[in-house]
Amino acid sequence: MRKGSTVFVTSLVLVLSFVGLGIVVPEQLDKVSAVLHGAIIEHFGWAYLLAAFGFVVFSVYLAFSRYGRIKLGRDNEKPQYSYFSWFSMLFAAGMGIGLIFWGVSEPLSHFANPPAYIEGGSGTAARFAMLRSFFHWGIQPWAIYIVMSLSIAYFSFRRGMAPLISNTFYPLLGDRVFGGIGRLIDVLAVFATVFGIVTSLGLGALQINGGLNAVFGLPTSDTMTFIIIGVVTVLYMISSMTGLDTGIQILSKTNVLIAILLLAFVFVVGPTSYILNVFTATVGEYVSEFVNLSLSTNPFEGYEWTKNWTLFYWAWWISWSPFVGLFVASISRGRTIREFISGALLVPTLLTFLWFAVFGATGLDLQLNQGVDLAASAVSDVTTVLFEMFSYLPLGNVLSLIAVLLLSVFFVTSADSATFVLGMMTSNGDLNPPMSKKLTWGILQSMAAVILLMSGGLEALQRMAIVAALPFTVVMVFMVFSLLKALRYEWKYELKSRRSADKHP
Amino acid sequence: MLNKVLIPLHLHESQERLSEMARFLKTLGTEQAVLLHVGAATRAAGEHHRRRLDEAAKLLQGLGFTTETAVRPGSVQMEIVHAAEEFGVQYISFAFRRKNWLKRAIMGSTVKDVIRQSDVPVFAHKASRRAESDNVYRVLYPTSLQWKGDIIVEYIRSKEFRPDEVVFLHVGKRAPDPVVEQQRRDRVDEQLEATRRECGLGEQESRQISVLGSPRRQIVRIARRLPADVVLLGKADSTSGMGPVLGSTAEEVSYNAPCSVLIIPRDLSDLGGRT
Repeated sequence: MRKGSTVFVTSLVLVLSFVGLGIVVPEQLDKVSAVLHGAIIEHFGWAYLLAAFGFVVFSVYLAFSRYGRIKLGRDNEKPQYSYFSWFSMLFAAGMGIGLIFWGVSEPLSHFANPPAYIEGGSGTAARFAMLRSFFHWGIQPWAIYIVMSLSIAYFSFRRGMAPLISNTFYPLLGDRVFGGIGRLIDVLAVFATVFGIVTSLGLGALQINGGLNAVFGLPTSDTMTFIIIGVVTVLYMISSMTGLDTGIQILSKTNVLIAILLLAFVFVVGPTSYILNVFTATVGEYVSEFVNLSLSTNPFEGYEWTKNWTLFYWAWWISWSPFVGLFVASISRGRTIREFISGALLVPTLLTFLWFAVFGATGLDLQLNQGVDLAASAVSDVTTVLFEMFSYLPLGNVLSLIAVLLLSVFFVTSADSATFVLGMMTSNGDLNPPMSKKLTWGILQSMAAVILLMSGGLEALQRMAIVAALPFTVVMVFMVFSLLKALRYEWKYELKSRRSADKHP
Repeated sequence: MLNKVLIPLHLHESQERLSEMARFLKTLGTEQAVLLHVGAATRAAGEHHRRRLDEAAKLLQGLGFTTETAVRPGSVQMEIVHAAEEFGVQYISFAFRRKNWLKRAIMGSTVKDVIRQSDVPVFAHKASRRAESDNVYRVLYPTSLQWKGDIIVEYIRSKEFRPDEVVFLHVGKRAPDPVVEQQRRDRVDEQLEATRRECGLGEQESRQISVLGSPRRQIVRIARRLPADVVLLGKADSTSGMGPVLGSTAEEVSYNAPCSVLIIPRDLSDLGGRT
């Protein structure tokens, strides 16, 4: 059986089995996933922190090293997409829906429920809340994505191999990447991608439902959520059929434009000076405390909090990395390593910081200075706090409508990119995956989201995605070594001799 | 080429061990030996050391060597290196004795220190294994294929160095993709073949092996698997990368190889010949 077919069939069977378990025995799946998830976060949390920090160091090193000049493509190749298209797609795939979901609720949630050593609702808690929100959505997630996407882009566009995660291990494993080990790595990647996207779709649908309730008074019910998933599925299937160059690109650009307009509007009508104060102070703290934040597992106090938030996020980003990595790789052809890293590390991070500063600070201003208890809503129902905040701003309903639109389009772009990536991974890295595979994965991920929302197995599936992140962390550490080995080889045996031949023809 | 040797002795060597090494040095065409002991400078100790050195010298004379002896106080490796210059020897030969890891970690290794500091070849002689194997005198020559006018080829071609079989070994790094990897393999095969021809050896008396991995580990592994009698290894004083921390491949192989190792210093200006 061909590699693509093996990976497709194996991962399909595996995914269907887990979804089946989520339907038939949701309690048991919940229990098993909770035990596995708990044990991994409890015992390997430090490994996530170390690995993520290592990926940041590695990315910065590569950007400034001599390898920075190497192109992700042939030497004379030009970037496939303009900067704006590239940043838009990067952002839409990497953060998008999550940022809208957590932009207000995360800072407010940390503010209300900080670790035990900080008094909830205090000024210290607000400072802590903003700093941690920046940290969770800052440089680390992008460094994780960079490791994955840079490796895939290098080995496929520079070295002419198929864009598969397994192929990035050629310098370490040789021809074994085309055998069982390679297939195992690719199946694991499909597994993590499907589970990550299914949970994200489920949670996204819940929030859109909350938004529609806030704007139009539509009921928040399972039926409404299923209708939302159905409509969005049709939309992303259409987008997916049109391919990367039209559907995803146009939607991502439109969405980033709308997001920037929304951001600018809230910045102007919200507490502008307060937002700028919060932004400046938090960026300053983030920069000065970066190493401390990156490595603090808080074993003596606040470990429970770190486990529930920071370690959860790190595992979550890692479980998303095969999907985002493959997608980002496929849109980054023709860029140099330095350009790729600096672009992917700095621009989305800056936009994320602005987002949290504007939405988080507006929420905190309402909470601390206007006497509106938004934090209680953030704790009780994270899906609606954004819309509640909009209701205190001018044109609140319009803002809510725009947010629902943003959520829906980000929902479409995420599911669309995931369908494309799953199709690619299960057809031996074909950059134009067959329609049949895109359809299979597209329908499967929506059906799984609906079924698991119904049976209550969605959280269990999210935990399983995080469980899959642990082996993937190990895979990514080896990926770093493999990429370094390949770059060293290219520099030593190909580029150096080419340069000396140019000098002395 | 290897006519005069400096043999540093700690004077605990058994007569058998010393004569076994001396007989081997004779097969390399060595005629003159300088026996050196670096030890305490007290008068009593000096006399004792000189007496032991004289006994060792007599043993070598019995095997056909002309000998000189010297006792020096001071730093062992520094004195060995200075004596090699002073007596104008062509190489230094140690009757190698393996230390356990703890001793090695605390006290270091004189052989490794001398390899690092010496400008003349260093031979680490290890107890013979030929009696228990296939009775073929086999030399393993690991080459990085990066040198022009390779001095080691001169050793292999010299009339004193008459191995039954020479095994040319290249330990390389895997290329980043299958196409370039195949090209690399073909190039290595061609270059090993060219080296073999340069040594004037036919297919009966030589073979070539190309493997992937860490040179310091693979050379030892292949030397054990063949089995080889002598590893002929070049050494360059590169100070880049982790070399100064981890030690050179030559130092590591001389210590860990199961057979004798001849380390030949190279001139860095010869680098860049082939690949």
